[in-house]
Amino acid sequence: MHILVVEDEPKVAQAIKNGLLSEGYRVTTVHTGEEGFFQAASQKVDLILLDLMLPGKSGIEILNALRELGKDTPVLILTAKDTIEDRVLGLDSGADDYLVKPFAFPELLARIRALTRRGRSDQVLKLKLADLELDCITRKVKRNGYDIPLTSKEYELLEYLMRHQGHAVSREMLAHDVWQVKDRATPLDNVIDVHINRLRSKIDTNFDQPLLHTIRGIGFIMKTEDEP
Amino acid sequence: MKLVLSFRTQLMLLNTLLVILIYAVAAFFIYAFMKNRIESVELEKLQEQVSTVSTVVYKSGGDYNDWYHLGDQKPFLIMEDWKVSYQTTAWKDLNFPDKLTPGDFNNKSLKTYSAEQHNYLVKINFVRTGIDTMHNFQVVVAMENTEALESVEKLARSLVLGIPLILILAVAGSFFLSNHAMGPVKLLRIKAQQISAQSLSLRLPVINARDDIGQLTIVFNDLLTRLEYTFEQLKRFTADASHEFRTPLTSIRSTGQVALKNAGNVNDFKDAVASMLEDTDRLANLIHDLLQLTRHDAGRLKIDFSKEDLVSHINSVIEELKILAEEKGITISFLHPDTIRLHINPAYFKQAIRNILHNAIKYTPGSGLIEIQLRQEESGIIRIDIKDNGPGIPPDLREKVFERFFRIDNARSASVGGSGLGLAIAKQGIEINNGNIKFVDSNRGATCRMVFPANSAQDDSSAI
Repeated sequence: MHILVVEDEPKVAQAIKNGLLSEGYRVTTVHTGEEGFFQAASQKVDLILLDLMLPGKSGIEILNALRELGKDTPVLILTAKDTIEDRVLGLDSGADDYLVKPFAFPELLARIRALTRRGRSDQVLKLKLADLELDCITRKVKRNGYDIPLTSKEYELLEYLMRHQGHAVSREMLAHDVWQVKDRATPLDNVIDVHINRLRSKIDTNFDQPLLHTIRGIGFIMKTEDEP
Repeated sequence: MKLVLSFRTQLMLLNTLLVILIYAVAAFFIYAFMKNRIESVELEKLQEQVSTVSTVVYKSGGDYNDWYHLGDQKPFLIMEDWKVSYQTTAWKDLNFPDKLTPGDFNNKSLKTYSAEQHNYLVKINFVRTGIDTMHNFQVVVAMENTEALESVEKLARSLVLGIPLILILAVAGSFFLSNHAMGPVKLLRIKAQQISAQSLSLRLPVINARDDIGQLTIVFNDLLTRLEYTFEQLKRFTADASHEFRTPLTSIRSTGQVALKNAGNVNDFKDAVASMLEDTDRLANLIHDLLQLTRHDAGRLKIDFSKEDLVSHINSVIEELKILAEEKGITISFLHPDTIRLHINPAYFKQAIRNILHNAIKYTPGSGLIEIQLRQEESGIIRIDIKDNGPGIPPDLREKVFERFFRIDNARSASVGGSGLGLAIAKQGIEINNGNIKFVDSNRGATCRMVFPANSAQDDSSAI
């Protein structure tokens, strides 16, 4: 999987590159719009991470030019501008998704996974991690064969975490995707923490192997202990 | 090239022009009136003389001998059938054209005549008289009116001579007047020039509160007061904001420096990085909140309104935050009618309720009680009370708590957390929805009251 990163800020570009490399992606970083356009047009790229404010050609211009060329490579816009007008402009120009800086890395990874998975069926009816099982239709949760009763919010939270199993999930992602709060709000961080604690006490406390982990400063992850 | 005149010069010119115009009109009327008066007095005198001569001629019945009583001094001429029958020496001295014909008077009885710088009025009268035979006499009397004409001329001359004098007076007067009128303006200008961002406490002197300039000055001073307040707020805001930014930055920097210096094991480094990430989260939240506030300040935001059920929106916020209350053993009660519909922007409304309720949960002690009451009064006013039984807010701080970064107790804030913008955002959210928000008296704890006017509840247009 080849990802082209068009980002003029060297530190940010380097950090994104390192992060993506460690996830097993092949990464090319370029620092100007012209170069980005050249790379995107001339070689096979699976995904473009595009900064909007670039020296020379702006991200939107590049996007327009690429789409005119008939390239339909998925584009994820990264920008510090986050007014609704900016979002609309980006999406109208043919971007596939939009992420506002400063973004959380797990969220970037999740969006990349979603974009590159596009087209493939996403209909998973059963989720499983070690001895934890989720039935997405009956919304029943079992661990080691025992039924675990969850509130509806706890279930939604767990399902989301399970769908991202092996990958970190940030509080922002939870607020946005599970609580459907579009604007980040501080009270929600506390709410999420309490829900996580309760969920953990239900699915982990009486079992040997903890599955729900908190990664300080990043968020949460569902994984078996032996995974990295 | 366009001529640009100062306001004072314009005033002066206009004033001068006006004075001259008034003078010209007045002079014209004086001249016309005086001329008319003098002429009519002259005519009366002439008429008298004509009458005298005519009476004598009439009474004489045509007898020339009686005419000598009329004397020789007055210039007059008596003709019979336009043939001279009698003339005085004075008349001869006039060197009047020898023969007078009916055409000379051209159907008018009056005629003017000038000779050797003397001017005469000449009048004719027809007298029919006689005892046996009828005689037709033409009596022609001349009277010198040189003096009268001269006095009219003199009057005209002096009126014209008055123009330069009046002009000088008008210019001087206007100059004085405009100076007097614009003097305070000049003073204000000088004073206003001294006012800068550093001296916003200065005010302009109000010389006369009742005149236009005084009124203007008062308005200007009010503007200065508002500016000063805003400026103060901005200064405090900037100071507070930089403090809020510095705290996490300091923490990030020192954590990083300490971690590098101590170079412990991987777990120590991980801890340090995690702590730094938490602080960046704080910074990100802070920037987000600030942007939200200022974006609306700038007034560039388009906000959509729709008719919404407040009960369900409040319920969803309670549902969202209930878990925090449960953790502290706090009970939340919600008293409400079945439904209350109002034109609102749900996102802003919910955020406001969320922040207020979260605040209440934060400050309510364990196993406390938060009561939410939603009701519509008979007048249509909608009222939401969120009442906790925490420590409450002292009356003098109830306005201030809505200010950005304001904290009742600075020492406490670190443990309670938050950016210090929660209530400011709540206030903005309520005001966007046409409501107002304040903390009111209550027997215990703090009661936050939000009031929405009746008309916005009935108003079906999506006006802001």
